[in-house]
Amino acid sequence: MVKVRNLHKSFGSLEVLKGVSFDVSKGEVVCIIGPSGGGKSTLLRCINHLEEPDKGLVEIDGKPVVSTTRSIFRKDHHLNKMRSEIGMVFQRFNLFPHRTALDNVIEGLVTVKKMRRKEAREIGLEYLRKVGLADKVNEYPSRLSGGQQQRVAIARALAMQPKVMLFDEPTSALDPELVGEVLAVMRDLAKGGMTMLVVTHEMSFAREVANRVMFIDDGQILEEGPPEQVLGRPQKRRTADFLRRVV
Amino acid sequence: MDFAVIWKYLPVLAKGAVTTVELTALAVVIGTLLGLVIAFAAISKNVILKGFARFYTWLIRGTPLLLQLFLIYYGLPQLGLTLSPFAAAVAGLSINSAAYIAEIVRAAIQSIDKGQMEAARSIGMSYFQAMSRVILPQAYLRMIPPLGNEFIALLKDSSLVATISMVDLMRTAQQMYATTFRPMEIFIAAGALYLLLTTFFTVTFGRLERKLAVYQ
Repeated sequence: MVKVRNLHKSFGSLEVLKGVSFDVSKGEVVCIIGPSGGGKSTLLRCINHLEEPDKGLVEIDGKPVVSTTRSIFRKDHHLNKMRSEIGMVFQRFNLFPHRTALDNVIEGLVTVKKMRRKEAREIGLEYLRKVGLADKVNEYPSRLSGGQQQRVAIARALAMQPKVMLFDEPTSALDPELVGEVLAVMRDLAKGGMTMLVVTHEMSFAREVANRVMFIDDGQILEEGPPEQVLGRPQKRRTADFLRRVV
Repeated sequence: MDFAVIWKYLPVLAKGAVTTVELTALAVVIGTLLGLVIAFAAISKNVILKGFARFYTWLIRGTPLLLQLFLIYYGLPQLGLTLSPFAAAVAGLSINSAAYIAEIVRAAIQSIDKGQMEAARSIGMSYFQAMSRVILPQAYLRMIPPLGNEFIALLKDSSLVATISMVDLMRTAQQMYATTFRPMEIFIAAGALYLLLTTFFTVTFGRLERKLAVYQ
């Protein structure tokens, strides 16, 4: 489902990704762990081209994620289409503050998929129900807690019916007591067979839900494998050091 | 002080005020459109557009409006382009306010969190969809207080067109003072009319701000 080959990305003289390659198959949940500044977020952002990789290849379902035009005046139909098939959940939610919860969820359906509002509303309501927010449909984000905002953000991404979901530290900006409700939604999603790539510091979530854990540091995948192996019996010294520090 | 003078000449002053309103309204519309274009040039990645926008604001903000009006009204005929006082006044005020409006719009757009554009693009919206549906609606709210200031300043600065033989409120007041020798009454009356007009902007923009801020 996701194919990444030899991904390189530098910011100025700082090389953040130094050739990353991996595959994710359909329905697989991959958790990406590692120290901050190691390139985890950049990797995720390269997958949906929020950052343009310097070198390398990203494919979703056999189709390359690339921009086809440099000009903002020409619509990049291919990339916009690819992005609509890749759901992204951000650390800081990034809900549209001027739109109600429901309008946040249906925004992409209406503007990108050109769906009629009435039809989009039905779908939007269904996804808000799915994340347990049926009673917050008409609230503005400023009236919602962090955990509720993040669940709306997940519903917004899901409404586009993406082939894969990317989560960029989805619980890192939340108060500890709100982390659980977001992880619960993600757990349901994984059970439902969604292909997921999750950058996270929640080791218990990774242990429980992930099919595979990747440890990324210094712009490379240092170690990967089933969670019990990577988290339980790490082969590399740096993985072990990292795990000792976070647990 | 003789208030009867004020009442007597108020209708004539009001006629001048109508011209002031016409000038300001046109300059607000044209200046805003022009300002939007320049603001988008300023935030674009295109070096030429960006350079043009910087040059424009540098040039226009760096020279007096009075001088710009003189150049347009007295200078351009030398190059074979003669404008009526009204056209010259509208052109001068629009070109001038556009530079300030462009800066207001640019700053408001750039003050919106980068995550908003990223979230919009990540669900597949194009740059222009993201701009018009996500960034600009939020930027409007931040533009309103400085735009209110700008329009009030524009209305008052429009009094400078009196110097290019445009008979606006200020010029009318000058003429009446010359014929009546009642400067106190005449200028107080004209001032009251200016206040009335600027109050319109203050009230309208206050309402607009409250209306747009429902989501905060």
